[in-house]
Amino acid sequence: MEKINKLAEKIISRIKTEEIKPTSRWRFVVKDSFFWLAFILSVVIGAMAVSVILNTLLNNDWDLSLQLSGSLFQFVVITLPYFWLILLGGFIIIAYLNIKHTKKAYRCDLKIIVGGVILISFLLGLTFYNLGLASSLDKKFIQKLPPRFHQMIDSRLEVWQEPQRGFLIGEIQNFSGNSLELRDFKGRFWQIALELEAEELNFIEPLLRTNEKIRLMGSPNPEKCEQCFSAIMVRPLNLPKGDMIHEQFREVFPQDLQGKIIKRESIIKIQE
Amino acid sequence: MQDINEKTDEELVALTLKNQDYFLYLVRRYERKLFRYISRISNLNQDDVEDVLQDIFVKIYKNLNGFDTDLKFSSWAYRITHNEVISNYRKYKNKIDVISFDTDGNFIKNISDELDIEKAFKLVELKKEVDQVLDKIDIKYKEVLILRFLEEKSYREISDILRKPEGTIATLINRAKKEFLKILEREQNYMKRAYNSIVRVI
Repeated sequence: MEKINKLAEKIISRIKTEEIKPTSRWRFVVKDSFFWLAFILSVVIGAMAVSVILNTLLNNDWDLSLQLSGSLFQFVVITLPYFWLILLGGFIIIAYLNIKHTKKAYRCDLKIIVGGVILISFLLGLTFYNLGLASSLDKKFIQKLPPRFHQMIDSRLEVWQEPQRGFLIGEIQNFSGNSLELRDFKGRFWQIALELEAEELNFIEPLLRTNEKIRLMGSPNPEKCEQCFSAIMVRPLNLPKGDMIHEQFREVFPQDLQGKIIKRESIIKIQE
Repeated sequence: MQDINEKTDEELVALTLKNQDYFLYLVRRYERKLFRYISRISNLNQDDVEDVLQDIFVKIYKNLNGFDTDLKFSSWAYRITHNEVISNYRKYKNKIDVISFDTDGNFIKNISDELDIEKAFKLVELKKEVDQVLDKIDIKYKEVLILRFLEEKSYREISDILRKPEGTIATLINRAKKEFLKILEREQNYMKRAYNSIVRVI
């Protein structure tokens, strides 16, 4: 223990000789703030993912699930927003890792921290969704990406890229009267004949603008031309916020839509 | 000097940040405690412990501005020591040349208070074996046993040192005690068998 008695002097002498200085307080403040900021950012991004997931689920084409996929289960499997779910999971983990590095977080139980992060993300996501941020995020960010990335981000699109089955998706090139030119996500140009009732056309017309992305249901019309398509239903790629517009769609496309679809399917069967 | 001794650790930290000479008093307050803690947790020899301790005090000095005054200074100093020792544990393990564990009477008393009397009696009988048992136990159990029964830290302090929730610390201590007993009984049986074999041969 004699050695230890000299240790204090040795340490002080080493500090003086090596001119060791305490690290500045602002560095600790910056470090702690960084973890808090990164945590907040992760939660906000996670919440955005939640809002897009809600938007996708609530505005999914549930009314057309049988026509699009054959069964409700298959429709759910195909159209689940996997990209956003993975993104949400990733940012929950990042948020957890950041909060874990803050000064007092270790005192809380892991379950409380993870549960808290999920709850905050969900509540904030719900707020974003109600503020309409999900659809504007989709419009301002995702739709600006090249079409080949669209399907990766929005798995719902897959079912709309089968013109031979009567489902087509693409970007309006020009629109006049009852016809429009559309470029699909594979870069092919289609001549579309709109076979809509006057009421349906009036409702959808404001959405038919150049560069607008839309989904069509109908049947290919090879007698007219190779890339001709007759549409009996038009929907924008992403419905604006919430259920409201969906209700309007249901009002405008009432029961007879089912009749049209059945009719169209019989046409396809006859063609086959 | 009397005046300095009456100052709290936190006051000494504040004074050290103004004048580095005050750090001497903090080092003096903690050098023995931390020396003992490092020895217990790493089993290094005295010279190596001294080297490690020097590095730890330099680290403490460098990080003084990051000291969270909501914690006790001792918890913070133990945390830095613990982190330093654990992050170099493998390196230290290779350097161990003498297994000498400083198990004083306190350890036996403290752990036996929490175990039943019969087992406590066995523990007292097997005081010398405690070193070996602690050396064989998993490091995650060893560190909580040392902090709880040798360093006599509260659950909150151990939670602050190891950066784990108090509930986790309680669970760890319970498991560590069971593991300790399991190894102890195994050692005891081994000793009995060895003793019986010797008796038979004689």
